[in-house]
Amino acid sequence: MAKREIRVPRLAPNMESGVIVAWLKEEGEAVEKSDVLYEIETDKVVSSIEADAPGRLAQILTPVGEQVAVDQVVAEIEVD
Amino acid sequence: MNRAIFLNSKDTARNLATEAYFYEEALGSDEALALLYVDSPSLVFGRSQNPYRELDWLAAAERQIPMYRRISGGGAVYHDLGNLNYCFIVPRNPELVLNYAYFLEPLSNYLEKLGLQTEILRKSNLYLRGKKISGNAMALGRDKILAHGTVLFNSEIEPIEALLHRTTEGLSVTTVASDIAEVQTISELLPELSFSDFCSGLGAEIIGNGLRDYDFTASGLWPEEELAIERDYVPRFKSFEWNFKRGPEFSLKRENASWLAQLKVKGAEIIEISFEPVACDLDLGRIAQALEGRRLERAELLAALSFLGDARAADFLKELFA
Repeated sequence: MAKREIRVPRLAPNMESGVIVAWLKEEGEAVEKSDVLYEIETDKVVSSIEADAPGRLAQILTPVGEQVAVDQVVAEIEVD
Repeated sequence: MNRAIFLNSKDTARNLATEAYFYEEALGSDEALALLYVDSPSLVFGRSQNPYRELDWLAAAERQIPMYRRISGGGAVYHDLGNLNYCFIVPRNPELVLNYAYFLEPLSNYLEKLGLQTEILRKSNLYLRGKKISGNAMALGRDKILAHGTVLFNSEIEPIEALLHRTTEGLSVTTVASDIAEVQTISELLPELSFSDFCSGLGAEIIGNGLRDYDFTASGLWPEEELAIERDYVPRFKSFEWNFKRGPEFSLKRENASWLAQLKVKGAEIIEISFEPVACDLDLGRIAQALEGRRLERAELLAALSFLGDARAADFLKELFA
């Protein structure tokens, strides 16, 4: 199984960072493509971030409440 | 057909549930929706906020003002019968993410027609003569954007100042802080305009001119929608789990002339509590034992401290949490 990094997307041109609001999957849990993995807040927008491939959520690197930068790796997914 | 609906309910949880229903499941991929609604007195805080930090939750409970968590970001706001809430839900479009100006156009255009010039400050708030009249927030989903906000027509200002101002002294937690600004009501500037006419006027602006890319037709909730909202969404917004248990663990330190208290709270429960007496005639050990494991909910904490007597228990809680 290969590991795939989950990075914070730039949701708007001037977005630089956000705060992780919630993880909707747990470590070890199976993930389908388009499942919501986590929610992030920036400038009063709460965004649901989806998985772009099926797999298993191997590791959450940033807990709820942590500030993260755009492109920062926040989790790893094991994909087939 | 994109609908514009003035919701009949004044139940804050129900109106939040209605927004969530359309945002999460009920709109087609290319449909848009406009909602206008008025809530009974209540405090509404952001998706990621810690209500125990942002709000004087104890005072809110004492005043019987309920507190609810919404699905969008941002800070805490006070809703009452003089505040109008608007909500737009549109198909996801990268140009509209964080584009508060787009969704504030109907309101600012309508106010301009009434002779009031507004400006957007702090990215998402609408200001009139240097004071905030509308706070806004968004949620971004798989294929939808929800943008909503408040409009202070003739809200009570005192609860806003009393309940939203919260000391963070001794509180360690990382969450989104409320943006507490000086506020203004529209009725102060337009005393001849009734709230009812204001609501109708904004509704007419939305139906007459829409958003830049979306037109709306006046409509109502269908019976099957009301049923689905009641069954599948209202319970979430009324639940203690959704409103209070979310969020990371936090710790709290309080001291006064009588004692120094340290608490840890997780999932809205006091998981650890200890007191160091300074000059106190209370049995602090017994108080700590009574409070450990309790929910941060006024009625439950008062019941736990009933051995102190009602008045003393209430005062003690104020010292500890207010």
